[in-house]
This record gives sequence, C-alpha cells and structure tokens, in this order.
Amino acid sequence: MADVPAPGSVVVSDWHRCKDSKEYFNKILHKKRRKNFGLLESPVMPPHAAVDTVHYKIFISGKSGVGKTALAARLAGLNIPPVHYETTGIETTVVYWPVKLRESGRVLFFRLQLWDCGENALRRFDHLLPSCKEQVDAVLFLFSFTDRPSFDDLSNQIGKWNGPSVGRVAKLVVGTKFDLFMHCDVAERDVRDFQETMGLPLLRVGGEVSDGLGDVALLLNCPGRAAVASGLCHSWIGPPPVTAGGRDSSLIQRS
Amino acid sequence: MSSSSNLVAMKKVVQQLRFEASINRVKVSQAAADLQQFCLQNALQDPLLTGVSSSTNPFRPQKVCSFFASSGALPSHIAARPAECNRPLRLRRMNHGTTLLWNRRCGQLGLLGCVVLTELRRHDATPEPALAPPLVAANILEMMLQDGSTHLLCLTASSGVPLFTRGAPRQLPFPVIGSLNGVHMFGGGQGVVLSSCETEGGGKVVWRVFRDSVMLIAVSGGGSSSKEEEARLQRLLEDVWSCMVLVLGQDELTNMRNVERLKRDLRSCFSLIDQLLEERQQGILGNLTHCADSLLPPNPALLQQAVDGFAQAADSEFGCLLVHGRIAAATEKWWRLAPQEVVLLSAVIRSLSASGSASCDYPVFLPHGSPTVAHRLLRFQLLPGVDVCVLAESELVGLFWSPLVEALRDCLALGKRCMPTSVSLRPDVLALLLINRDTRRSVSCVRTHPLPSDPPLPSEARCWELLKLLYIFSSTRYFSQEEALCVSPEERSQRGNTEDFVLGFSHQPLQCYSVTDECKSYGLQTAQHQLFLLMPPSVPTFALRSVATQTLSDIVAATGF
Ligand SMILES: Nc1nc2c(ncn2[C@@H]2O[C@H](COP(=O)(O)OP(=O)(O)OP(=O)(O)O)[C@@H](O)[C@H]2O)c(=O)[nH]1
Ligand SMILES: [Mg+2]
Repeated sequence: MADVPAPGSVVVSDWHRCKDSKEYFNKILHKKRRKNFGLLESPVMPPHAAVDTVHYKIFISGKSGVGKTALAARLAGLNIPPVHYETTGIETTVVYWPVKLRESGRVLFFRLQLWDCGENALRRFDHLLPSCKEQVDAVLFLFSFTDRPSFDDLSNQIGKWNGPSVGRVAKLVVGTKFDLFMHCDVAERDVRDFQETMGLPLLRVGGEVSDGLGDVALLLNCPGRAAVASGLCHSWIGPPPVTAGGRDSSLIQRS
Repeated sequence: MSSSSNLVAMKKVVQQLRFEASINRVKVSQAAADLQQFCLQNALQDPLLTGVSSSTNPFRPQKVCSFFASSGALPSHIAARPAECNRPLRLRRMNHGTTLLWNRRCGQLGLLGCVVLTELRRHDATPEPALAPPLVAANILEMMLQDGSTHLLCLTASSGVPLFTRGAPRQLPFPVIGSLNGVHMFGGGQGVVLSSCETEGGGKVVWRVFRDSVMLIAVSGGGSSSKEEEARLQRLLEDVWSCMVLVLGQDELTNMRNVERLKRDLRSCFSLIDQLLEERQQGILGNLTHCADSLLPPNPALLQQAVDGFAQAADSEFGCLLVHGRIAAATEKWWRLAPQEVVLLSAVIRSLSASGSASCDYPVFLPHGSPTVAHRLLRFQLLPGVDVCVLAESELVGLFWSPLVEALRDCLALGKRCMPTSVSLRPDVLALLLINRDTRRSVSCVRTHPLPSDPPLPSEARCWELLKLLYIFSSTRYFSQEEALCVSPEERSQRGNTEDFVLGFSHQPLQCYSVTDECKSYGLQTAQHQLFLLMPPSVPTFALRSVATQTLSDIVAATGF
C-alpha cells in the first residue's frame, strides 16, 4: 500500500467549508438537513454545471451492536436509532457527496453506497457476505470504544480482507461510541499502537450528529497513511484522477 | 302395555287434575305484580344483584386475582363443595371479577377458577410443587397492569424457560413469569387449556402455545371492554408468532436444541415485535383488520404493468409497490399470500423504509407459505415514500422504474387520502375505512377539515382512534369476524371470541350506527365490502345511512375496489 497518495493530495479537504462548494452542497441539503434520495433520484445540477457521479460500494463490518447501522445513518444525516435493533439482513444507504479534485479543480459527486449487514444475519445466512463483498471498493472496520473485545478482534477481521482474492480495497478503522468516555474500555495508547502496526486510517465517532456534513467530511479526509477519499480514488480512479470518462460511466451503470 | 299399569297412570293423571283444580287462581296481571313485589322486597339479599359481601362470601379471594395471592389461606369450602361452583355467573361473582375464561373440550366459563383454587388448597395441605402454580404477591401483577400498556412474555412451552419479554419498561420479576406459566401448565395437567383470564381492574392475561414449542403470554391493563381486548390480545399473540417465524423460520423455533442460542437469535425479532406492540404508524390499520392497507393510485394500470414486469424480470412472481407504506400495486401472486403475510410484509417494508435506507436484502420466511425455507425480500426505495419489493433477486431498478417517476410522484401526492381525486367524497365524511372482504384489502383515510366548526371536530389523531374503535366495536359485536386463514377451525372454536349477541341470531346484522358527542358513525356490510364511516355530529341521524351507501357506491364505481 506504499503507493497510496498522502491525505488531501487527491481531493480538496474540508471543501464543504469553502464558499465555492455552496452550489453543490445545496443540492444535497433540504431545509438545512440532508436530503434523502430515492434510487430514482440524484442531485441534479443545471446543464451548464453538470458533473459526473462516481459510484462506490462501501461495506461496514463489525460485531453486533458496535454501531454499524448507527454509522450509516450518521453518514447519511438520518436519525440515529436510539435503541439497538438487530439488522436482520442487508441494508444499503446512499450518500451523495460533492468533491473537488485538487489537481484539475474538477468537481465530482461521490455516490457512496454503504452496505450494512447485521452480524447475526451474516452468521445465519450464507448468501449475504458474498453479495456484500462483490465488487466492493472500501471496508470500514468498526470497533466500539466501550467494547474491548471488538477492538481486540480487529486485526483478525482485517486479516480476512487481505490476499489476492479480495482485490484492492480501501480500508479504514472506525471507533464508535467515542462520546461514551465514561465507559471507555480502549485506552488511547492502545489505539495509537494499533494504528502504528496496521498503518490504517482511524476515525473516532460518537455523539450528536451536528449538521450532518462534518461526519462525512471527517470520513473522507480521515488522517492516516491513506485518507479514505484518496484511497477510494486510488482504488478505482487511480492517480491521476478521472482520466477515463469511460471508467466513470461503467461505474454508474454498475448499480 | 298391561291394564294394571294403565290404571296406575290414569290414577296419577286424575290426582294431578284434582290438585290443579284446587289451586286458587289469580289473574296474570296480579301474579306479575306479586312477583315483582317479591323481587323488590328481596333484592337486597339477591347476590346476583348486589354481589356477595366479602364478609359472608366463603370464596372471597385475598387479592385481586386469587391464584396470584400470596396467602395460602383459602377457605376449605371450595375443596369440599366444588359442585356448587358449577354455575358460571356465580363463580364470577364469588371471585370478585376474577373471571377465568377457558375451554375444556368445550366446557363452561369459570370452572377452572374453581379447579385452581381447589388445587391450591390441596397444595397447602400436601405440597406438590410440580403441579401447583408458584405463588406471587398480587401487587406485582397489579403494578404490571396499572400502566395500561401491553406486556408480552415468551417462554419455552415444555419447560417454561423465559425466552424474552417485551413491552415492559423494565424486566419482569421471574416469579411473575413463573406463575403465569405455572397456571397454564397446571390447567394443562387438568386437561384444560387456559386461554385467558380477567382481573377485577379490567386487566387481561392471554396465553397461547404455538407448535408445542413456544408459549406466548400477553398481559394488558385493559381499559376497553373485555371481549374486544381479548380479541386484540389473541390476535397480537398470533402476529407475534408470525413475526418470529418470519425472521427465524419455524425450524429454529420448534427444534429447540440450544435455548441460549435461541434466546440470542430471538433478539433479531424485537424490532418487528415492538412495532406490533406500539402501533407506531398512524393510519395503518392492517394489524387490526388483517387486511392489507392499500392506496388506490390514479393510474393503476400503468403501475400494475410495471410491478408485473419488474417482478418477472427479477425472476419472481411476487412483487409489490408501496406508497406511504400502503400497497399501491402488487402482482397476483402477492395477493395470494395469506392475508396475514401480506400485512406482515407491509410492516417489514414500512420499518425498513422508515430507516431511510436505499435498498435492502432481507431473508424472510413466510409464516404460512414457506415457514422453513427463507426467501430474499428485496426492497428498493424509488423515492422517499415509495418502495418496490420483490421476493427474489433483482438489479433492474432503474430500467423499470425511471420512466415512471412522474406516475409515482402522482401517487405520493395523494398523501394519506389513499384514493385518487376522481373519487369525490361527500364533504360530511370525516374518516372512512373500507374493506374488501374478498381480496382482504383495505383503504382508509382521515380528512383534514380546514373550516373550524363548533363544537370542534375531533383531531386527525382522534379520528384514527375513533375509526379503530368503531371497527373493533362493530366487528366484535355485529359483523362476522373474518379470521386469517391461519387459524384452524379447532383453534377458532377454542378461542370463542365471537360475541354471543351474533350467535343468538340466525341472520347477520348488515348495518349499525352510533351517535356520540364527538361524532356519528356508521358501519355497513355487504357481501363484498365492509365500510366504516365517521361523520360530524351535525349530520342528521336519519341521513347516516344514505351517506354511507352513497360513499360506498362512489368509491367502488370510481376505482373498482
Ligand atoms: N452513544 C453512542 N451510541 C451509539 C453510537 N453508535 C451506536 N450507538 C448505539 O449502539 C447501539 C447499537 O447500534 P447499531 O448501529 O444498531 O448496531 P449494529 O452494529 O448495527 O448491530 P447489528 O445490526 O446487530 O449487527 C444503538 O443503541 C446505538 O444507538 C455512538 O457513536 N455513540
Ligand atoms: Mg445494524
């Protein structure tokens, strides 16, 4: 993974704070909240400012109750389920996100399809994991700061995603329930050690969803050896980004 | 016949005639007046009118529900004279409202109460822990019943191991669960199936065993009349069982090898079960009516064609389009699923849709059609509020549905009206529920009234409430209840929740109405439809019938529903 570009080297980080991003972000907002897009819908720019959309499939992995469903809801700006109901199958959530490529200044819409599958459902039905793995672009490995075993099992989980059969998949570790520091079961030092040995970006989430924008930006710009956005671009588009328009359209057709 | 016996008979007749001739005759009016006077004079001593005062009642229970009472000091009279408890009405009173409804292979109301009490008594003398239900302080049960909500317990039928409890804000104490199970088990030992019990405060407990493997118990604080509440709880248990089968499959529930594992797996049903208990979504009546909540689209043929094509392309015969959580179109096979399945699948889809996710792939078992083989329920959110589903595999969403975006938006625009604008409802219709008895579909709507009126009309939420009450009232009392296919005839007779009123008549009531301060309501039944209507109090009562019949014919004419 040595050839992964440095964070912020592919897309402009924190672009949602810049003025020139406003007209794009307005398309994914409605009354200051994130818009929920059906499958037949997508953010539409006026013809003169039309942009391409790049599709990514992201699998959320982690044991039951760590907060997979909550994370998907958080990233989509939806209400986070207050109680834990097991997910009994696969649920996908679509997140549209405008990005600006650093080099060319070109704007794209990322369409992140988050695949959330309940851990117990995965165990009970064999057909679920293969469909989650099929043509996946990135995996988020979740652990909970309040659940030590979920942290200890990480390297085991990540190990399953190495090797040639899986192909090139961007990986990211997410620590959930960071807001519950009173019940924190994973020391900061352990996290740092882990990050050093694995060399993966690590994101801490928890607490209220603020404006629904910060979390996605955090995810995409997540500091570490491979910012996720860069990792994603790298895994599919590769530097230099978006050279082949054909690549884009084939991705679009794929869904 | 010998002449001597003939003679004896004749002598008897003569004797009888002589006896009757000697009786002093009075006029009927006089006799009636005498009778009345006697009754009034003795009214105070008539236990049927006044009840039995607790000091003279030998069967007085210690607490509300006698078999939950902690005291073992029950009077010995019961054990000594069980024959006296045969009359149901009497037993009911003696227990101070503690009615036990049950069915032995068709026995009488109330006898079980006597049996249980008798056994408790015996238990006091010679302890038989296996038979007698454990005793619990009655106040725990009272506490459970007080908050008016419904509690649900699930245990293994064979050993009574608690599997889960829902609906309670906190975990129920084990002794309560134990005794609820114990009473039922005890009845079983006596050759009696305990199905429900009522406490003095109007609380209700309903038991049901499924497939000899799982026992479900519902406890409710009651409130509404007992018959209706019991019917509701019975149906709730049935639906909860179906949810469990839908998620886990029947095999896992019946071949109980590892209880701990089953306990863990059952957690995945909680989302659906809680949804049943809470009845979250306003305006969805499927759990009550067991009819599919439907929406009649302005352009039915177009959507029907798309659903059929989509399902076919997805290699499935089962496809369905939901708008606002109501079925707008579905393939023929979808409608051939058991009505309960259609309702349940709609509920699953609604809860998935509420989470805002874009698509889902859920393994589901069909409680009646395929309880042991899982199908894939694929759901796609076309627009927020519009979901399309197939039971199989599919990746062709855009291809089929993109051309229909506008048609779908038209459906969405109907909102909670559920009917195209071509149906002109009379202005004096506040709310309606229309059921097609053949297809087991229903449409319902509550209209928002822009004009303030005096007295103010009931709010939208209240209208939904009233509509539900009207349905429960009419269907438990007057109109025949159409049970879901799943109920075997044997179970049906066991449950016996058809109102005596209906049983006493050879004909079927076709219409009923009620007038209250809030609104006037009308129920109408034809061979094919049932219509329930709410109207403002200002509508003259004599006009209710014509409003109802006209509304029915308007809707049917315009939509063919
Ligand atoms: N305080 C806090 N609670 C969280 C956070 N993330 C998740 N939770 C809670 O953790 C519980 C479980 O979260 P889910 O997202 O439903 O768990 P899951 O990983 O999807 O579990 P399965 O579907 O069973 O595999 C829920 O009650 C969430 O509200 C967080 O960041 N902070
Ligand atoms: Mg989940």
